[in-house]
Amino acid sequence: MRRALVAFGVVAMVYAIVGGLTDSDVSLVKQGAFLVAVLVAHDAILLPIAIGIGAVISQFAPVRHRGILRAALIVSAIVTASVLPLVLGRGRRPDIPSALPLDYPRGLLIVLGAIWGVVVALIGWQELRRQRQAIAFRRRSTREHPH
Amino acid sequence: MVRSPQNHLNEPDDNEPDTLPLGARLEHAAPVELVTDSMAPPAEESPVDDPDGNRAPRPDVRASLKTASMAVNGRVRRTVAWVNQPLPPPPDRFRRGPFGERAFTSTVRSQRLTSQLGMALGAAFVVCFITGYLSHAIQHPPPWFWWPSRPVWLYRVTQGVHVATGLALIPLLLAKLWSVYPRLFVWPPVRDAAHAVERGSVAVLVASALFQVTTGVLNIARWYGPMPFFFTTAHYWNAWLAIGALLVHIGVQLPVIRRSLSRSVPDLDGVPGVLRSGRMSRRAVIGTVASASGVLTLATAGQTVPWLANVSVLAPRRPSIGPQRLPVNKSAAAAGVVRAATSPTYRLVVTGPSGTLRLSLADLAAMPQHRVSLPITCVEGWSAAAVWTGVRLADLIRTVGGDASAQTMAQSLQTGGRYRASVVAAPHAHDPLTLVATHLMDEPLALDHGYPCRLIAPNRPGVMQTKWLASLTVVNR
Repeated sequence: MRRALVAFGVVAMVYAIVGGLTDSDVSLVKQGAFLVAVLVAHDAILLPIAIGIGAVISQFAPVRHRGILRAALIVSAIVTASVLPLVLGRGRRPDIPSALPLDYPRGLLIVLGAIWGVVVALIGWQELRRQRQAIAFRRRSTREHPH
Repeated sequence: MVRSPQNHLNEPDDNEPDTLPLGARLEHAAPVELVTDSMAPPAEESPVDDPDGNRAPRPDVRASLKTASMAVNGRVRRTVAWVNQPLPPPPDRFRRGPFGERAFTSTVRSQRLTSQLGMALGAAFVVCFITGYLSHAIQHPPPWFWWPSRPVWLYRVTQGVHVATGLALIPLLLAKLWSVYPRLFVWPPVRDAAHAVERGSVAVLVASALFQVTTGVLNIARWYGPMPFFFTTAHYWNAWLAIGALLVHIGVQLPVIRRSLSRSVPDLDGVPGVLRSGRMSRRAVIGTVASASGVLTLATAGQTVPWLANVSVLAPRRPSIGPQRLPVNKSAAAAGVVRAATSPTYRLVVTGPSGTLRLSLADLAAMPQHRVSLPITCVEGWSAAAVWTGVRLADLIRTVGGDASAQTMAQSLQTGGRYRASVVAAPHAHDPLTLVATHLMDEPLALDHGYPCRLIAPNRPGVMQTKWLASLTVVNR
């Protein structure tokens, strides 16, 4: 099973390289440079920044809400990075107004607003429940230990 | 920060034998012994002539063969030993920053998390590979490939799934890479040649996966500037590289995946959840990744799923926006066909076994008209339903003497460009839904939609629905 997987994988990779070498549309040098560029951009720039921001959150965010803040930040960052080419709108052409027809910065703000709206609602609900629990606890302790 | 015991338990162990099977297997395998046995008969047998009178190998020949095979054997052994020979570790003073022992403190990373993310990511990649290959094969059919004209929505679904899955796997890919990030800084960076090969194959996998996702996103955003190559072929060949590297990776990591997913391994993660503790649990990470994928899908899938159109505020297309409420991918101006398409002398040239027809728009209008509802599906993942009116391609094929086997070459007025012509294979050419359309949504075709007439066939990519038709050439097969 494992040998078969590795063998098929190697065959596919060799096919890719031979195909790239024989296809006149492919520039192996440029494509190779792009491969290296995305690898470096991710491993040496984007991920360290994301981990750094995560570490900062761990330091400053209140423990109770740290998890949800971190989750919301991750979702926001990934969504923003994924749709950045749309938001920048560099692919627009004046002769094809139906391509990229929406206001993407506004769309991104709506999406981020929705994400953080959920965060606010969750934190609010969490706080409300905490307060109710605290009140119930106080009432119970007053009943059990009247002064 | 001190590592928790859980972290130690779950941290990938680079010295585990079954994470590195290739070198180990090579060491134990003895293929050359087999060769020696088959080449040299047992020594006690005496040489025998075969029926043709040829002499069997004499003992001295056998001996030299044996010597040669032993030499090969030795060389292979030496190579294997060289491959597995430990390399001198770099000086410890370089073990700093991310290479440091306690550089990565997150207790969330675990083999179980990595395996679960990896399984989902692998499945998503396979879906993208299959749907992507399908789209490629429809456009460049290999001899064995056959693609039907029905159901009319099939390509709409496969290509919609291709792009939506590609977008949804971005969070998965990023989370998977984060979960194994410390392994990038493993110490020593290279243990031996086999380790170097394994790390190289992982680098190929990561780079090609990032390449596919990045180029795919740039393509749907139509931003070709950052890609110094032709997107389609680069995305195609790199897909083979990615799927190959993925198979190799699964093959190498299979025991780790099995072990970390088996129930016998205690999951020390607990279920604290996002809400109750500052630390994220494994399930919270998976929930976060799923949320990001869900948000991306909801925000974009409306480009092909009509009832999501209003929710998808980040969709690269809205199916109802465009001339005649239909999006356009290439304008008549960009195609350089405005003058030819609007010329009063325009004629559609239809050539077949029994002769050639030169049809004006009025001639086409005089033929039996048909009105069909067919989606137009772009390789970029958007699709939209539309109502087309025109002449059946099958009627035109019959008029010029084409039979049931006939296939048609449709050529555009464009003088250049990759998509100026398309082949309509027999299943599509004879489908009664395939039209040479002159009207869209009951109005004459807009210039950008292919005026004076265009091809529209069921279950085909938009780039093959040739616009601004100049000629149809029918060939019986």
